[in-house]
Amino acid sequence: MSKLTAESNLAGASLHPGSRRAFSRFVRKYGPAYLMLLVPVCFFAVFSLYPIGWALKYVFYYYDGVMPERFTGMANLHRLMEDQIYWSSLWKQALFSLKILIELPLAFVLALFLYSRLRGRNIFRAMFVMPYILPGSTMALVMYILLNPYNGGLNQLLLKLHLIDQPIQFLSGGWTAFASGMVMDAWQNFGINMLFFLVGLTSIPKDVYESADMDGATGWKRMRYISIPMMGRILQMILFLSILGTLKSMGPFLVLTNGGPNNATELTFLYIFHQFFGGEAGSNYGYGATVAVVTALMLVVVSVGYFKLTKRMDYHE
Amino acid sequence: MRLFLSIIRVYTKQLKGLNNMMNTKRSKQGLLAAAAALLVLMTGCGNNGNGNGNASPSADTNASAPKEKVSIEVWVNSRHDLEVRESLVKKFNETNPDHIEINYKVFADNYEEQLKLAMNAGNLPDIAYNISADLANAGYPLDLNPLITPEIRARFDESALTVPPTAKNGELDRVFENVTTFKLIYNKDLFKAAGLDPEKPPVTWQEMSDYAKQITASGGGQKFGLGLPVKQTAFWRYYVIYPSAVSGDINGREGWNAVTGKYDFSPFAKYVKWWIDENKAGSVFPGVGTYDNDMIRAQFAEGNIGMLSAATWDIGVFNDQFPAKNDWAVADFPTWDGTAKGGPAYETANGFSINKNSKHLEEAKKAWEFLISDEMFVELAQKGLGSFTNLAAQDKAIQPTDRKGVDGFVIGDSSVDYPMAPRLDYSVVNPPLKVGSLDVSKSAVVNDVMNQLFMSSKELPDIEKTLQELGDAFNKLAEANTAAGTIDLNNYLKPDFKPLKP
Repeated sequence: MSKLTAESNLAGASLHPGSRRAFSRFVRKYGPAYLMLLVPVCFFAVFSLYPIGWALKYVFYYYDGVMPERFTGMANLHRLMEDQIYWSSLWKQALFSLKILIELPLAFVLALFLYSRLRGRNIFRAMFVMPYILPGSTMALVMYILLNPYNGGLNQLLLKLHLIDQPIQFLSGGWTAFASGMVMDAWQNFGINMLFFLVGLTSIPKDVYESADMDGATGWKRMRYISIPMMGRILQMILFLSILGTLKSMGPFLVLTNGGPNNATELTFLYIFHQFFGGEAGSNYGYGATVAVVTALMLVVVSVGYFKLTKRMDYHE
Repeated sequence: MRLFLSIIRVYTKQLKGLNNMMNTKRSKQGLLAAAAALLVLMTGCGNNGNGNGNASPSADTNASAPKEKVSIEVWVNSRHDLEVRESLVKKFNETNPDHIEINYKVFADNYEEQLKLAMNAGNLPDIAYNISADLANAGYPLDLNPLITPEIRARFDESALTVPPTAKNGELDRVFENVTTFKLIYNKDLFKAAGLDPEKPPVTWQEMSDYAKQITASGGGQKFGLGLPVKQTAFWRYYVIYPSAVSGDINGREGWNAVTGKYDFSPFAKYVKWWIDENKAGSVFPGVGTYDNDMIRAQFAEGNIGMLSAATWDIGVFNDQFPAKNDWAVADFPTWDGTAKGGPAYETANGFSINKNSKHLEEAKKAWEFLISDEMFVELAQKGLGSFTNLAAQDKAIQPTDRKGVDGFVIGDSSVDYPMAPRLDYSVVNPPLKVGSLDVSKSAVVNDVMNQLFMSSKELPDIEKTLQELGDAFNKLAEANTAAGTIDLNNYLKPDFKPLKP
């Protein structure tokens, strides 16, 4: 059939009463769903597509938010290539994401405990989720006070226990400040991951465990061969959310150290924030957009790579 | 607690239900979606109804109402004088015959960002205090020169109405109302406790170092000789650049040498090294780099710090914001050999600018006249809330006797207003020049460089080398600005400038 004939057939079909009925059936069936989708799509366009387009444009401009923007070609990208603080912030961001090695095992072990018929398990659940519910900035401020070398609670405790003879300046030293932020962030987020793990555990059908019991599988074997593989899908999501979450987080460092001392806690997203909101130090939205766009591209690659690598975690496929 | 537990339980159940939801029949989805869509449409209709304000009866009512007040938006970032200013504004709003209502809004640390956002949204205030150079360049302020009547001129010191070399087209964008001096303050009680004479503040940097050690040693881990609030790196200016003036180490502000017409940061090397040594010796309040100025001032007020760098506005801070629980005094910064080779630095600054695109320009001008009235400055001066270029406020008879620090921050005969540094456009060199890993893309890079040197505890040769590089970068930037026509360096030259008055 020639192309022309095919097109005229299509046009004819669209006018056919049968097709009209099919179309109205389609509208009746899916119309409300599409109508519903229209609202989030509009919001997506306004609050996602527009900012993305804005950021892409300003990669090629100098713009400080006040004076008229100026086209600068590839200057922002050249600057980025030479920006040691940015490149080292990427490594710090990656290092910071290792806090999931504390966060997730802790969440998983606690979820296993709370999945059992432990008395008062709901109280423990509430306790563990509490740090997640409290505002991050408040938690960071509390931690800031606790770590204070002058009269902070932690130093006072260590001094009283004679474990140290001089207060530790946790937030004045590069590594101690970084590690403090990692631990704090892990502590704040393990509760929600524990809930996710609990959901994963409860979604495994009981009869699978019963069959395993009959076959003599208990303890570690039950976990190794039933719990973990059958939680594959949710485990994949927990890992993805945790990794991506930490890779685009500025952690508690905005409040705790503001990126200092000496950029030791300047994570990439805190660096981006500082480019946009430099205060009296000055802002450069063009360069901020460049850093944000390049970093976002890297995260897309990481996300796609992650899903490819973890495809086999999903036992449904 | 029970409520919280039930929330957690419900949340867990909802998550559990995720899988089940996937399997829900499509017909139910359709029903739900239709219901939600209907809800959205109904909400939309409701909004339309509400939005039809022109036809509402209230519009008619307004037409017959008495003449409404004209609201003049005034934005400020000054908090220490809030109480006095607000009470005067309230009085003005109640009594002015022009139906002007000043809406006085105080912003905190994010003031500049708020102004930028307002500019981009086209919502700039009618009057703004302390606008940035960017906003001035962007054409926000009205040229005040035509508004300066002989009557106003007679009420102010000449420095208040002098157009600075940084001004655009010779325009005056504010009446510079404050005189700010930069001094050392010290806790006399801690001096006594450490066996020091509280009437003899340190005269040399070596003495200051010795005093700091003595105060720290006698403080039992609770009191320290010095404080350094460099979580806000801007404070390197107050702990290095301003203190260096009395040693004759500067011939201009912010590293600019008005005599040679070049930038030179190398004189600051020994000051940075001094702070590194003091920190190593344990004389600085612990946790350097994690405290901003408010935190350090609060510790000084509590009596835990011996000596701090301070400015005129700290009179208000230590009397009102953080009332000092100790006897404190003001002194000049020390010098290297005990002899002053330069005058203590002071600057005129701050002032209200009028938005030249204000919808109520005439009313804004009247509000501005009130904001620079003698009444305003006299009231502020009586409360000890600063030093002013307004002559009525300089009357010694009205200065409060019960507020500490007022005398100490008054300008003396030797005080010097150091020449202004050129207002560079950092975007002229893009990608920016570099000093180490730092981009020379903003004036604050000077503070960042000093902070980096301090935090890395560098030795003197490294500090000197880095500051030399910083000076070179700034000089290249100044040349590029000259070439681009954004500045004329001749406006900033003062070959005859002497930092020490005869």
